[in-house]
Amino acid sequence: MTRKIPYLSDLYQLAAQLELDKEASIKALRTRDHRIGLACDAREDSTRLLYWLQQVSAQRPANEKSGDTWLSEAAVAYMARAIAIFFGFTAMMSLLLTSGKGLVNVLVFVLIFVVLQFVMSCFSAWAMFATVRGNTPIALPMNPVKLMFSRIYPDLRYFREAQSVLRITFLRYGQEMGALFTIGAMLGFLVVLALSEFTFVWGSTFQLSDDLAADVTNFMALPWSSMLPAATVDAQVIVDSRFHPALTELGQADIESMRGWWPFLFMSLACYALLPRVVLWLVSRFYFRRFIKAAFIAYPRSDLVLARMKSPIVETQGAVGGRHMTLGKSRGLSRRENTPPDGRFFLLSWAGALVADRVHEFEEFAAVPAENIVSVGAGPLAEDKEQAKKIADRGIDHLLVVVKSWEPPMADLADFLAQFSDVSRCTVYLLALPRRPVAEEKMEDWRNFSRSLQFAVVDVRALENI
Amino acid sequence: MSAPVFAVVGRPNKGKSSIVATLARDDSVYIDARAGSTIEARTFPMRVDGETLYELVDTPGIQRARAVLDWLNEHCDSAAERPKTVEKFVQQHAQDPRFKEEYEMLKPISEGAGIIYVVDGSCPFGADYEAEMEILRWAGRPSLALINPIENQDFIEEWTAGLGQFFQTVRVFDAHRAEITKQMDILTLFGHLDADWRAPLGRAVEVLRSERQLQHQTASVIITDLLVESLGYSVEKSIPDGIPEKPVQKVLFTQYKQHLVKRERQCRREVEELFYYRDIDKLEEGLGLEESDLFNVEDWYLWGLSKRSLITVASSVGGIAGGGAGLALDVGSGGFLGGLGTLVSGAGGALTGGIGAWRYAEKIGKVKVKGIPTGGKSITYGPSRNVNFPFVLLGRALLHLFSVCKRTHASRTEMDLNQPLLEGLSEKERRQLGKIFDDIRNQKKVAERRAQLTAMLRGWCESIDVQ
Repeated sequence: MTRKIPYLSDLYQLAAQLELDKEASIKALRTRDHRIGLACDAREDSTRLLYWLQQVSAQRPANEKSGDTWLSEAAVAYMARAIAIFFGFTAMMSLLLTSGKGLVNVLVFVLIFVVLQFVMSCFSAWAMFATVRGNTPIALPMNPVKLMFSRIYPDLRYFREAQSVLRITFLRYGQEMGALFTIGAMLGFLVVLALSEFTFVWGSTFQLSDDLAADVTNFMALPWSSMLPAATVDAQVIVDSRFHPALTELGQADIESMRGWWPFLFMSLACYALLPRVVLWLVSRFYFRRFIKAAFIAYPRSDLVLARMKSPIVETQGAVGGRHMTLGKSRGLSRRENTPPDGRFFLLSWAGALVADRVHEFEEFAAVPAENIVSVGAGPLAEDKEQAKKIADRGIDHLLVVVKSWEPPMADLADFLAQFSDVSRCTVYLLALPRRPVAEEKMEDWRNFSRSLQFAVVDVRALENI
Repeated sequence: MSAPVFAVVGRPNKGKSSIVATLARDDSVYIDARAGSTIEARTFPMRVDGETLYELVDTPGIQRARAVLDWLNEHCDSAAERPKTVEKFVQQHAQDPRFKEEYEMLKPISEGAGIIYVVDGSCPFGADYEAEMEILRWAGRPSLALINPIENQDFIEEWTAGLGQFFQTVRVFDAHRAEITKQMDILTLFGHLDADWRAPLGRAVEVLRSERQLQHQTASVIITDLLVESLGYSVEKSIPDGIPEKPVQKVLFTQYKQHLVKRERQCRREVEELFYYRDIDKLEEGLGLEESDLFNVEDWYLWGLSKRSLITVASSVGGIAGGGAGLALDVGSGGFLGGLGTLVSGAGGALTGGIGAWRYAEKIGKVKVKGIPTGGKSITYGPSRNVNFPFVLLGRALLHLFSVCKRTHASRTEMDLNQPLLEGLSEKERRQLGKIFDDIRNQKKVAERRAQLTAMLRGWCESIDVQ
C-alpha cells in the first residue's frame, strides 16, 4: 500500500527521476506513466505521485538505484537521536560532577541548560514563522543538520525549488535533537541527584541581591508554582546557597537545605528547555507534512507526470507497412538523344492539354498539318482505341504528344502510346500553365515516364505558354 | 461496430500523403514532389488507449481510371448493381499487376470506407478527371472532396464548381499550412459523412483537443525548466595553491557553454517529440544550433531584446528593486522622509540597472575566485547575470516552439528559426519577464515565478492555435 505522506528522500528520488526522464523519449514516458496511472486507484495527487515513484523506481535496474547505502536519512536520524541524548546526559553529568566539593553553580546550570536552550527555541520559532510565511531564511553554513544532509543527499540542487521543505526539515530535526538533548540532561540530572552528593550555590561576581534572585526564580516558577509549590525556591534556600566559596565543610543540613533548588531546576528544564522544543517539533512536523505534500506535487514536471497518468494514450501514426518508392534523380533519357523533330509528324493533345485552334500559336508545331492533330485521353477509351488504329494506319515517323505539365504521367497514356509500336520517335511536350514555368520535378516525372515507353528515340520538352 | 475508415484517394501527386501525414501527425510518411511515390496503401489508425476511433488509408494514385470505368460499365447490368460491380472489380483484380493501384484504392472503399477525394487547387480542373470521380460515385460510399492548394489558390473556384457536381461536400484543406483548428474541423466533417461516424469522430476530436492542451502545457513547462536551470547554472572547480587560474577558467567557461547548449538541444528535442516530430531540419543561417551561436553575443539582439528594450527592462527591474529598498527606508523612518527614500532609491535602482545592462550586455557570466580555508582556491563560472541572456534563450525556445506548433507533419521544408520574435512582445510583457528572470536569478519566490512564466508561455502557445 502506498504511503500518503512522502518523505524527503521521496522528494529527492522524484527530482532525480524527473531529471532522468528528461533524457527519455516522450513516447516512452507517455506509455509508462499511463500504464502506472491505470493501476493506481489513489485519488489524491501526492499519493498518486508517490505510487508512480515507487513503480518507476521498481522498474529501474538495481545498479541505477541510489539510497541503498547505510547512510539513509532514517539511519542518520536514529544515530543523531542517540547522540543528542548522550550529549545531554554527559553534559549534565559533567557540570554536576566537575566540582570536587560537590558544588554546582545554579547560574551556569540555568545559562547552559535553560537560557541557551530557550534562546535557541526562540530563534527556531522565528525561523519557522518566516518559513511558514514563505520567506525561507538561509540555513547557517555550519548547521550540523545541513552538513549531514549534504552527505545523505549529495545533489542538494534537487531541493533548490523546495527550500521551504528543506528548512522546515532542518528545523524539525533541530527541535527533535534539542528536545532529546534536554531529555538526556534531565536524565543525567536525576541520576546524579540519586547517586551523588552535591549541592547548588548561586553567588556571582555580579553582586546580585537575594531579592533579585528570589524575584527571578519566582518569575521563572510562575507557570507551575500554583500546581507544584514544592518546585519553587524558598527565600531561605536562596540566602543559604549564596556564599558558597566561604563554605569549606558542608554539613548534611547545609546540603539538604541547598539541594532545595533541584525541583525548581528540573521544572525549569522541562518548562523552558524541553516544552518549547516539543511544541516547535510538533508544529514543524505539522508544517513538514503540509510542505512536503505541496512540494512533491509542485516539483517542476510533477504536473506532467500526473497529467500523463491521467491522459489516454493517443496514437494516430501509421501502422508499419505501406511501401513507397524513393524517387532518385533522373539522369536524362539514357541511350536516347534529344534531337530536333523531323519526318512525318502526328500531334496528339492528351487529355485536352492543347485545344486545336491554339496549336499554331506554338512554332514547335508549325510543320504539323492540320489533319495530323488529334485530341485524345479525355473521352471514352473505345474512341481512343479507334483513333490509335487510324493513326497507326497512316504510317507516322514521329509522334508529338502534348500533355499538361501540371498533371502527373499516368499509365493511361502509356497504354495508349503502347499501340504505336511502328513509330520510332516520340517527343513529349509539357505544356506549362500561363506565366508559370514547368517545375524541374515535373520534368523529372515525365522523363522517368518516357524512359519506360517503347519508342527508339524519345525526348521530353517544356512548352512555354505565354 | 467497427471504426470508420476513410480512404484518401485521387491522382498521383495531388497531396494525398500530405493530407494523411498532417491528419495522422506522422512525419514518417514519404512525401515527394514527384509523382507516384506511394505504391501501396498504408493505414493510419487513430487509437485512444488501444481503441480505434477511425482509420485513414493513404492510397496510391489512380493510373487507369478510364480502363476501370470501361470494365465497370461492361460488367454492370443496372445502376443498383454499381457498388457490387466495384466489389467484383476488386475481387477479380487482387492479383492483377495492371490494376494494382486501382485495387489498392478501391479495396478499402469496397469494404466500407468513406471516400476523401483529393485534388490540387493550384492546377486547373479538367474533364479528364470525370472518369475517376465517376468510379467513386459508382462505389456508393459517403464521400468528401478536399481541394489541396499545393502551390497557390488560383483554381479553387473552378474546382469547387467542378467537384460540386460529384460530391456533396467540398472543402479547401492546405495540408502544408493547415492550423490545428482547421485539422479538427476536417475530422469533424469526416464524422458528418455518416450518422454512425459522428460519435467516434466527435470523441476523437475531443481527445485530440485535450491532447493539444497537454502539449502546450508540457512545452511551457519544458521551456520554463530550461530558463530556470540556465539562470541558476554555474560550474565550479577547486584547485590547489600554485596552479594557474586562467586555463581553469577557460575550461570552466567551455563546460558552462557546453552544458547550456546541450540543455537547449534537449529542450528542442523534447518539444519536437511532444508534437510527434521525429526529424526536423532546421535552418538558422549561421545562428544554428552550434554551440558558438547561442553564445555569440553579437547575434543576441536577433533572439533576445534590442539594446534599447534591454535598457528599458533592466531599468524597470532595477527601479522596482530600488523602490522596494527605498520604501523600507520610508517605512522605517515612519514617513519622516516623505517618500523621498522610495523616489531616490527607485531612480537610483533604475539608473544602475540600465547602466549595468548596457555595460555588461556583452558579458555572459562572471568568474568568481574564492579561497578555501583548508588551502587552495575555488573557481566558479556563472550563473549568468546578463539581463539579455534569459531573453535570448526564451526567444530561441519560443521561436522553435511556435515553428513546431504552426508546422504540419506534411511539411518537408527546413524550419526557419531566423526571425526576431521578442520584439513583438508588449512593453508590459517584457517588464514582467524581466522581473521574473531577476527574481529567479536571485532565488526569490522561484516556485511562484516559475508558475508565472509557465502560465505566460502557455498563453502564448495557445494563442497560436486561435490565430
